[in-house]
Amino acid sequence: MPYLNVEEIESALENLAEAYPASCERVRLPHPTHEGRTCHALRLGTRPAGDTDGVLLLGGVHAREWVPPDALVALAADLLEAFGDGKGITWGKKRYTAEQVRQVFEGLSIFVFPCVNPDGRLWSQTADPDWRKNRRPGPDGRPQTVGVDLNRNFDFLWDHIQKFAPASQVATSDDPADKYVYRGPAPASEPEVQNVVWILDNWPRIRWMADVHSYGPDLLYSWGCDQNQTTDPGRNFQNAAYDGVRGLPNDTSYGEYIPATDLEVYTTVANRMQDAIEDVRDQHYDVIQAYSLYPTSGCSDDYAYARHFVTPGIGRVYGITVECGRRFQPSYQEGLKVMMDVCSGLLALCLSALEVSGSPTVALATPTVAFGNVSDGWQSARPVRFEVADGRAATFKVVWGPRTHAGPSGSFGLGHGREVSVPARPDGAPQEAIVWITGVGSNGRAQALGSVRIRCVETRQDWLIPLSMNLQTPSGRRKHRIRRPR
Amino acid sequence: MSNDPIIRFEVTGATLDDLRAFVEEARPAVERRPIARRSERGFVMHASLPETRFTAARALPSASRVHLEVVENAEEAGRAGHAEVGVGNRFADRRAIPRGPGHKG
Repeated sequence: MPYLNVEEIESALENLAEAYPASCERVRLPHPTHEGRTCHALRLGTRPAGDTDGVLLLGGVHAREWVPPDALVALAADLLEAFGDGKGITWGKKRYTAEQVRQVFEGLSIFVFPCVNPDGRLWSQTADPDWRKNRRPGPDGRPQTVGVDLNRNFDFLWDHIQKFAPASQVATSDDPADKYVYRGPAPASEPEVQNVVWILDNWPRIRWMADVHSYGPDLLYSWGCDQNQTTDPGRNFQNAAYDGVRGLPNDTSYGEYIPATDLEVYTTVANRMQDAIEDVRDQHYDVIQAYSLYPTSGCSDDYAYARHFVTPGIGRVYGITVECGRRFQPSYQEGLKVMMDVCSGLLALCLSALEVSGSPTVALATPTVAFGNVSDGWQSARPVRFEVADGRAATFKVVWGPRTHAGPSGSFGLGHGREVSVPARPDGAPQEAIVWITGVGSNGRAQALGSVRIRCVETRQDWLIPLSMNLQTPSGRRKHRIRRPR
Repeated sequence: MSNDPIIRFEVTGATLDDLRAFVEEARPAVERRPIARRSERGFVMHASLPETRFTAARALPSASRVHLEVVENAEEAGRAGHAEVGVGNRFADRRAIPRGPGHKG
């Protein structure tokens, strides 16, 4: 049984979609490759895509890494067959029950995009086995300048010359003749990368992305651009003040900010994947931050995780890179064993995704907001509190208002922005999210009425919250009703 | 067949700085993400160089602080790999359903 060629991967997806129409669908990706190939992904799951959180699994970004596409097709085939027959799956010594398989089909959308870079894979499998990039024609027509490293082309600190310290040795290149790490002519210039971005844009409930590469064996979590720090949110990839400073090891000038709770989620889930892989046949995968020796830019995992910082209000996607096996092209017999490791690790990821990134259970704890005794020229703040019961991530966004319906205009405002998020907590502990509303007094202690509408991004629940000012005395005694405008 | 094949090798050093010193002097291609795993002897990373440069790299001053171990000749491994790529299309028949390596039961 040899490795799948490019044509076989496409046919395998088509046949799986036809064989299991109730539990998967084939998704046509919109951007043909430079050689004109149309790519497809499978979406596994029994519920409509918008009803559940999603996990995106990528393979074949790098052409010479032959195991990951086969592993993802194998995973899809195993899951679909097991779910269809109501059975569990055993890879090596690791067993997953039929109930666990059912849970992921009914609780998630699993997007399997097994061969992101088919042009490159074909070239690697038929011409140059050491080929890593895609097959973008070279700008000067020379074969030496063909191709872009897709895992340096994502729109995350892509311009390494501007963004990183000159001495950082960032592992990317602006030279098209670089055989391995040419970043491309522009961020997300490559159709293969655009296909990945399209999936993330079109399924906003995707919460996890695993990009399967070889070799390692390792499990990598963000960030890859600098050493992580959890104390200074101002030191972040969007802050231009740190351009030219990033990427140096063990310096005090910069570290990439990651919320402590996100770091805990990353390491907790990666450790579960590590255990699930080790249970198959005792292979140990290290769990490592993606920055250890030198920084990288334009990588898929950091791009996925960065998206919610760049565009507030969209869901957080935890990006993980799996570096599987110990060779780019092990013998197929060895490759099969690596595939089982990968399958087990990825199913563990899916089960974790059900736990830590499913839709949160949220409740509004302050159905009204009342300001009392706010004098002329004074500003006060009151919390709108939301309770997040199950440790899942939640984002609350002000979608309308605050507006003043009666009383001096501009009586109500926002204290700390239109949005607040709480990250997932692996221990499942309840959390509180607070949107701060401000009240500004005027005309003595003028009375005012207003409202604000706040939405939970994950659950799409909306709350219209009444606001009032100076309707009560400090002691709580009602003064008098104000007239609403007709 | 190239006269100067690519050699893939592991670099093991007691510290990350030992690895960095070797990389910055020998300038190998770093085979994947530029990361190092912990090992019993410190840290290990993967790299590749044409055979002539790999031989020369062993004599560099920074090489005295690391251990270099050949993993494979990339060209030989690649030729062997090409023999294990599917020919034709095993799934051309729409009734040919892929099956994974897992035991279902």
